[in-house]
Amino acid sequence: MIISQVLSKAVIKKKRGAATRYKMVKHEKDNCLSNRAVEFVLTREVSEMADLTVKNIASALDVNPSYLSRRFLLDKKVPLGEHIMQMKIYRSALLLIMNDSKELTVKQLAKNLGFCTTSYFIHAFRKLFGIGPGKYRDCIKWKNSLWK
Amino acid sequence: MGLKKMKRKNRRLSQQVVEYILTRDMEELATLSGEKIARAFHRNRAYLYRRFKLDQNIGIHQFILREKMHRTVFVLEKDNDISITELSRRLGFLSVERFVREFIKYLAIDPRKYRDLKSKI
Repeated sequence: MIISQVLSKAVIKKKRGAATRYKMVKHEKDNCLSNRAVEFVLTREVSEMADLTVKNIASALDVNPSYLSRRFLLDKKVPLGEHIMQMKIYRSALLLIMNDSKELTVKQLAKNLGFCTTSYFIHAFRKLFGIGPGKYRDCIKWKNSLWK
Repeated sequence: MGLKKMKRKNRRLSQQVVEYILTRDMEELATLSGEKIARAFHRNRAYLYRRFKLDQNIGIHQFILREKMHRTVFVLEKDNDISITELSRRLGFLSVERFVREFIKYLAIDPRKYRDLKSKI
């Protein structure tokens, strides 16, 4: 009898878990919050880029960090942490293009954007662009045709 | 030839393809296709696709699309006057809707909104 009680409790627990999960999925898309997060990330300056974490964004938007990342994944189909990383890499590529003289080293860039090591930065860059940042800078002659 | 046989053999080729794609200018990129790249490298198209996907974990077509999105970002950053319609046409998209959808997929935001936010800073 005890066993059956435990079992039934377990079943109820399982059902409840499923119900809450279902609720979250079924919930109307709350793009408002995710869009605010995206805008927040985009409007940061380079100096503020270094301490851009899920926690910081959540505290700036006054929501729970885990709720924010769950919400974000549901709405945008990409994890918030990964999105932040992508934005950092995009920004770094932009900086590479803007200062095409060799003044700005890759090492400095990685440090400015808050990467612990340069190799980690290069690895992340390569993952997105398929090529390392140093070589990428040599590859961007097309920008001359873009704007004179 | 199965995928197993191709394991880590010719990484240099896909690296060259990446460089080839990155060094194209806007007009060339708009009309770039896997077939053209294969012809430029004197390789079989199917082989090149397989090789690239194996080394880069992303297909050639997807890679070109992504590169187009990167360029869009740079153009939006630099040039405030160009319209989204004009930009999508210059990148070789057949419709603006398709272009906007692709942009949202990569940057999670509408291109017009992106520009508005950028101009505020």
